[in-house]
Amino acid sequence: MTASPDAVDTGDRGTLTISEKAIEKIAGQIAMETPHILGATGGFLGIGGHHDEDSRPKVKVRLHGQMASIEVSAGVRYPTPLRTTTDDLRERIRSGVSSRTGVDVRHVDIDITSLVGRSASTDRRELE
Amino acid sequence: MRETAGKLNRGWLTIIGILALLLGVVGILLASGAAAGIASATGTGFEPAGPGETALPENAQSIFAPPVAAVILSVVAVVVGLLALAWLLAQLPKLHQAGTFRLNSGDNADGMTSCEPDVLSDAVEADVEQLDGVQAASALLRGSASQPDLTLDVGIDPRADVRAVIEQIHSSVVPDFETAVGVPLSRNAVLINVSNRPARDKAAVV
Repeated sequence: MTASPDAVDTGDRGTLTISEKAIEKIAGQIAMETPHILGATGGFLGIGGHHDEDSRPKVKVRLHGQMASIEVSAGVRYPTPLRTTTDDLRERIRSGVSSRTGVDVRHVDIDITSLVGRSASTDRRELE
Repeated sequence: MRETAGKLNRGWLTIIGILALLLGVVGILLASGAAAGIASATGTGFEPAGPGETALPENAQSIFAPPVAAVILSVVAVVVGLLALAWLLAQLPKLHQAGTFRLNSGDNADGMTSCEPDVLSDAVEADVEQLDGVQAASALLRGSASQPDLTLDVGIDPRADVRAVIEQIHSSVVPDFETAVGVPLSRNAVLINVSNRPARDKAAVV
C-alpha cells in the first residue's frame, strides 16, 4: 500500500493536547459505567449528599508526560467483594483511558468512600 | 467496646498508696518515739527527731533560700502538673479502631485500594438496622483487612426475638461483611441491649 500524494506528513498536522480534566471526565465516565460502582451527588460541602449509579465518581488525574496516575473516590454497592470490584474498576480505567487517549495509565488508586446497601439506594423497599 | 486506663490507674494508685503508707509509718514512728529506738538498735548512727521536736532539722528551710531553689521547685511543679494532666487525659475511653483497610488483591504496582473502617462499620450498621426488631446498631472494627475484628452493639425492641436477631446477624450480616472484605472475621462479638420503649413505625412494609 502506497501513501497518496495528498497525504500530509504526520509531523505537519499539528498537535493534539489532552488536558487532565478531559482524562478525569473520561475516567469518571468509565467508573460510572462499571457495575457496583457509585458516584456521589447532591449535598453541600460534602454534607447531605448521597451515592447513586447515575453520577460520576470523583476522579483526580496527575499527568507525567504521556503517563498518568489516577485517583478515584467512589462508592461501592454492599455487599459485593470489594477487592474484585475495585480490581475490575482499575482494569477498566487503565484500558479505557489508554485506548481512548493514548495516555499510559500506570497507577489507579481507589478510595472507597461509601458502601451502599441494597435498600439504601432509594427510599423505597422492594416488595417480595 | 471501649477500653479504659485500668492498668495505668492501678499502677499509679499502687505507687501513690505505697508512698503514702511509708510516710504514715514514718510519722507514727517519729510521733511515738519508736524511731529513735529502731535507729539505735540497727546502729545506723542517725538520730531521728523525738516526739516533742520538729520532724525536720531546724536549718532545713535554708535549702530553699537560694534563688535557684524557686526555679527548680517551679520546674518540678510544672512536670508534676503535666503528668497529672496526662493521667487525667488517659481516663478518656479509647476505641482502638482499626486503621485504613488496604484491600489489594495483588501487589501495589497497579495502584492501591483503601477503605476507612468507618465506611465499613456504617454499612454493617445499616445492614443490622434492617433486621426485624432492631432499633439501633453500632459497629466497631478493629484489626486489619486480613484479620478484621467486628464488635456489634445492637439495640432491640423489648418485643423482639433476641435469638432470631442473633441468628440473623450470624447468617446474614456477618457473611455480607465477609463477602465485602474477602476474608473471614477473626473475632465477632455481639452486645444486645433491650430498649425499654417499643418501636413505633409510621408505615408497614407488606
